[in-house]
Amino acid sequence: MPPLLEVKNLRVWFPKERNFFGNPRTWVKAVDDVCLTLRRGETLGLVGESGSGKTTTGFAILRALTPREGSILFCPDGRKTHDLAAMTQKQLRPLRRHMQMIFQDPFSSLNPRMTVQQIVLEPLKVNGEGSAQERKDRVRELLGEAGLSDQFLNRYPHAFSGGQRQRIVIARALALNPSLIVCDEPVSALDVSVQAQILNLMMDLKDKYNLAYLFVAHDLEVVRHIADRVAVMYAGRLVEDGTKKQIFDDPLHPYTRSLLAASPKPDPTGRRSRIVLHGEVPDPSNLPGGCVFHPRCPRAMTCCPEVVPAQTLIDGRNVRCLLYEERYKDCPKLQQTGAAEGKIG
Amino acid sequence: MSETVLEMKEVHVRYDTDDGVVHAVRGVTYSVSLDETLAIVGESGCGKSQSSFAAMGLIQPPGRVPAGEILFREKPGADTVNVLKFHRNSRQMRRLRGGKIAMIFQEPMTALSPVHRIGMHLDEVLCLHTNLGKQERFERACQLLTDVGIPDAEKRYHQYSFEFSGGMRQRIMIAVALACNPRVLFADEPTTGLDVTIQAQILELIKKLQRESRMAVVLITHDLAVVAETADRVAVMYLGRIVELADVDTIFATPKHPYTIALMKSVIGSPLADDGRLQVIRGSVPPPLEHVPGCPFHPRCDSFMPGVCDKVIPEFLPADEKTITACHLYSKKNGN
Amino acid sequence: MTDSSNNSRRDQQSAQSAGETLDVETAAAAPKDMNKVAYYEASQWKLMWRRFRKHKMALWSLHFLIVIYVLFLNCDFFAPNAPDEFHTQRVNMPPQVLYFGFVDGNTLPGFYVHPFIQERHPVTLKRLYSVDETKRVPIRFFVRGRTWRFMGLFETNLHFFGVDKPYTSFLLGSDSLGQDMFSRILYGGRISLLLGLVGVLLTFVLGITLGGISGYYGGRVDMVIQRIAEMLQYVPKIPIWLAMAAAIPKNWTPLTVYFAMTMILACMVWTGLCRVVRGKLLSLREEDYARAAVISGATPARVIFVHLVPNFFSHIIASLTLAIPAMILAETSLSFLGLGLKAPITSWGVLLKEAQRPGAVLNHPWLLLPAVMVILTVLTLNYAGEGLRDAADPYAT
Ligand SMILES: Nc1ncnc2c1ncn2[C@@H]1O[C@H](COP(=O)(O)OP(=O)(O)OP(=O)(O)O)[C@@H](O)[C@H]1O
Ligand SMILES: Nc1ncnc2c1ncn2[C@@H]1O[C@H](COP(=O)(O)OP(=O)(O)OP(=O)(O)O)[C@@H](O)[C@H]1O
Ligand code: SF4
Ligand code: SF4
Ligand SMILES: [Mg+2]
Ligand SMILES: [Mg+2]
Repeated sequence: MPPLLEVKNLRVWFPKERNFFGNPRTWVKAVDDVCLTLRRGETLGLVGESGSGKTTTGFAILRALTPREGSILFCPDGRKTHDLAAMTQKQLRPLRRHMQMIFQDPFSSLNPRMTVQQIVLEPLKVNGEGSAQERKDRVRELLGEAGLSDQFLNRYPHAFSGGQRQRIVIARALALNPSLIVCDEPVSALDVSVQAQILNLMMDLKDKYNLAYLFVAHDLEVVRHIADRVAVMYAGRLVEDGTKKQIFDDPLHPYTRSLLAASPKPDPTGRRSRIVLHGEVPDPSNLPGGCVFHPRCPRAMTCCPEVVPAQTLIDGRNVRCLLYEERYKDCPKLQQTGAAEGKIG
Repeated sequence: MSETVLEMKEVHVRYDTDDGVVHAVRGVTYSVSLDETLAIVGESGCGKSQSSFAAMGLIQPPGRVPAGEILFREKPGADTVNVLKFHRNSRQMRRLRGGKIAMIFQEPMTALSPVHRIGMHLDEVLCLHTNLGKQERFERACQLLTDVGIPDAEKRYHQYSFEFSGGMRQRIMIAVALACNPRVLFADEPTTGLDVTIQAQILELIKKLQRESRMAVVLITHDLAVVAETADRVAVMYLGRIVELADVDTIFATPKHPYTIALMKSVIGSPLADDGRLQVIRGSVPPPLEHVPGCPFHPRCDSFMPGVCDKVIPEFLPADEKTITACHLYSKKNGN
Repeated sequence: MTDSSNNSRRDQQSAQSAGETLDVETAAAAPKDMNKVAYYEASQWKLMWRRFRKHKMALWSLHFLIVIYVLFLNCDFFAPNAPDEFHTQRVNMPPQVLYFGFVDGNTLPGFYVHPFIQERHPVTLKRLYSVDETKRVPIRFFVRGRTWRFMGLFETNLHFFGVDKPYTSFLLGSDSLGQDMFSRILYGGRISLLLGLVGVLLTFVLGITLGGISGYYGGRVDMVIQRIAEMLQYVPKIPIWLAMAAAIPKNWTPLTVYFAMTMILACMVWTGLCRVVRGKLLSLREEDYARAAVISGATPARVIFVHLVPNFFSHIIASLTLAIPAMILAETSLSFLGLGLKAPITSWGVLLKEAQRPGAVLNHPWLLLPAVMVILTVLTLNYAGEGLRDAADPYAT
């Protein structure tokens, strides 16, 4: 059976500057050559720093924007595979029921002019699901699933806190029994105690409905908690992906290592001196040549500024780093001014 | 233990709005000493920022500080002064604010004016709080920029804030805050919204500067991981009150107050959290206009004692030699 | 210590079950003057109204506007005289004072006026009016008079008030032709206010369509529309009006001129609304709820009309309210300059133009009353518009 979702060489570029005729001159390469696989009932954590293209990847998969290149193979029923990237919005409409989204900002993801009932009802209505009465019953059921009482039905979003709004969003996303939910940092705007409530809810629902999540986050601890597999993005590229254990216990890519080392742990006993990564994420409209990470990489080699690393498969995981490519692994170390040595200049 | 620099005693902050009274801070008591980092943690809206604004004289009408004392020791061995005695626009307050009591704000984007070169911000504080000449101020400013890790200080001095990334702007904010060698630095969510790698850089920088220039740091955050990494002591706030205060190891290993216990359990990766399902705190924080009688946490507390917790406000008292907490479970009269 | 571990066990068990359902009642704060559930279930319009009411000036303005719109739109009923009915014997009469008291022959007290006695100055031959305090002319309500059509449907000759013949009522005085100022202000107000309304409706159509196209499609169309809008916004208005007014053929009927005027005005004013609509569409299109609708399979039409338009409709109403004064002022100034409407059509601008004669202001200051009306209407419309604008976003603080 084909996997639920297979993304191949996805590119999303936004025009940055245009010439006189309105044709793009320079591009913001938000997502560049990304390959992902997501199996049924699996949670794939997509991590990376701000601006690394996580949200853009999610939107492109749901075709909330049009990718420039690549294919998005989606197989909701295990039989027919559709290439979402090549379809028009109209052709996509019947497939929409199988994929949904949970957003980062619970305050902008609900239409302030609609009641909870209308909000959760919308996907059902748009897709002509059941009779009016059946739809209403379904809304009650969904709210129950999301842990909200049905006395909230006629309330407007302004009556709810962030966590409760996120529950409404979850109810809406579940309405059509999707098989894939893209979750764009669903808990990062919430307080810790509320985060826990939402994460628990999401894990319960996943088990119950065999959902697959593409879980975008920048909080590594959250991803460690919820994901089965993890993909790490940097400046629009996927630098490493593997199982949770591989990524967290034995990261290969120098960026993954730095990211893990930099992320704080809520445990004072394990306090260690953090390896501080020097420099900042590059501007996606002006990326460095070769390996995009080389100006910050503590292990950069002389070949890194020239050669774009290819995807290398090492015990079932993908890495994009020249250190793991046979041809380049013996290159001499690059002497960088002030590269990450655990010190700030 | 070094000497106490700042001491808050029963500080209150209230806002009388059209829609009702918001009692944002309801009696906050803590002290910080030199070289120490005190973390104030709590959920959004619990009054973390407001309590520090009170110390900076930054509460604007309709807000006011109806009660409390904020004692500040300006020089080692000197007597303390009550900052609340000064009007927020008085000369004394303006001299302290940004000079000896400094603050890094939550939003580095809005705290720097977009129409001024960043050097201007530095020059302004130096001009207000020191009597250096023009050239000396420029040199000091460049030195500060270099200290916070901004290369090419002399060139960067003349650039505008939008030419800097978020992390760089936060560094500039730190430079501005540290310009006059403050004794207390309030860092209000200095790393929220920054990436982990940048966050690590900024926290590391604050620590380094604290060691070098000897000051007390009050770190305000809702991120317990940041607390675990940087704080010496931790104050947990809930609904405008500090519910528990202890050193960082104690509070993570053996929290006392039911809210702290529940909070620690709901944080992924903390020593108390289970690996599988996360523990949650029932219910949600009541809205600011709501009045909760007795212990503010009682509607959500699992150790709730009817007749006591919903009637009497628990006092903020030592539970043992390491922890101070505000819960009837630990007070002598009602403890079982 | 045992104590605390005990607690934590209890803690765990109940927390486990608490994860399943949410038993909280409160989330957002309800303001103290509103019932909680009512607040939670209050629609945006209700919240808007609540916020609007807090703006006292705007509320008063709104009441005032309702009154004058009712008066002016039904001026056939409320005006005692026809606007073009003139009395050569009663030119330039000053306003009459309204009294309340007993009139001979009536058992109940009522409103009355004293008639004027007209004399001529023996030397200058100027007309002089003095009040004849001996006579009381009762004001009668719901009297029969000239016929008019109620909403163009049926004829009636009922009027709100009037006086018995041979007297005439000149509550606000009369002009140099002996026409009743009160009636003329009412009729003039109808034209001026209607022109404002019709003009704004046209603006609305132009602004929404062009702004909508501009904002939703973006790209080159957007650029062209925006450049045109900018041009119209920044060219000096008076020369354009002059040119357009000159282009109106002299032989057009007053009604055609009237419509031409509204068209011209609408063409000048739509740019502001176009920008509002475009800006709102551009920002709302990026809102997650609009995205969520697309992801759920909603058609573009549904996204626009169910999700986007309702969310900026209140802003549009506010902008429109703020656009009416501009229309009224433009009409008034154009007509005043002799470029817009002309007699026999009565508008405030036309009335003011008639007051242009030298000495009019000194000798007959009541001829300036239309200007007072213009100022009052424009001010109240502005207050109401501002109130609406502030209320349009009930969540902003
Ligand atoms: N519509 C757009 N036009 C131009 N550039 C865009 C657009 N959307 C995103 N970008 C750029 O693409 C890059 C990737 O953005 P994206 O939002 O996917 O990052 P992200 O990983 O989700 O970051 P964050 O953690 O901040 O949400 C950013 O540099 C952003 O500026
Ligand atoms: N100007 C104001 N008028 C009315 N209430 C206010 C005002 N400023 C703050 N508050 C209230 O004070 C309370 C505490 O706010 P504060 O900013 O201190 O919270 P915080 O703990 O810093 O939260 P966050 O983590 O979101 O920054 C909030 O409930 C807020 O509603
Ligand atoms: S390719 Fe070179 S620069 Fe890039 S991550 Fe690997 S070692 Fe570092
Ligand atoms: S005082 Fe009572 S309600 Fe408050 S935290 Fe302690 S046990 Fe819970
Ligand atoms: Mg994002
Ligand atoms: Mg704050």
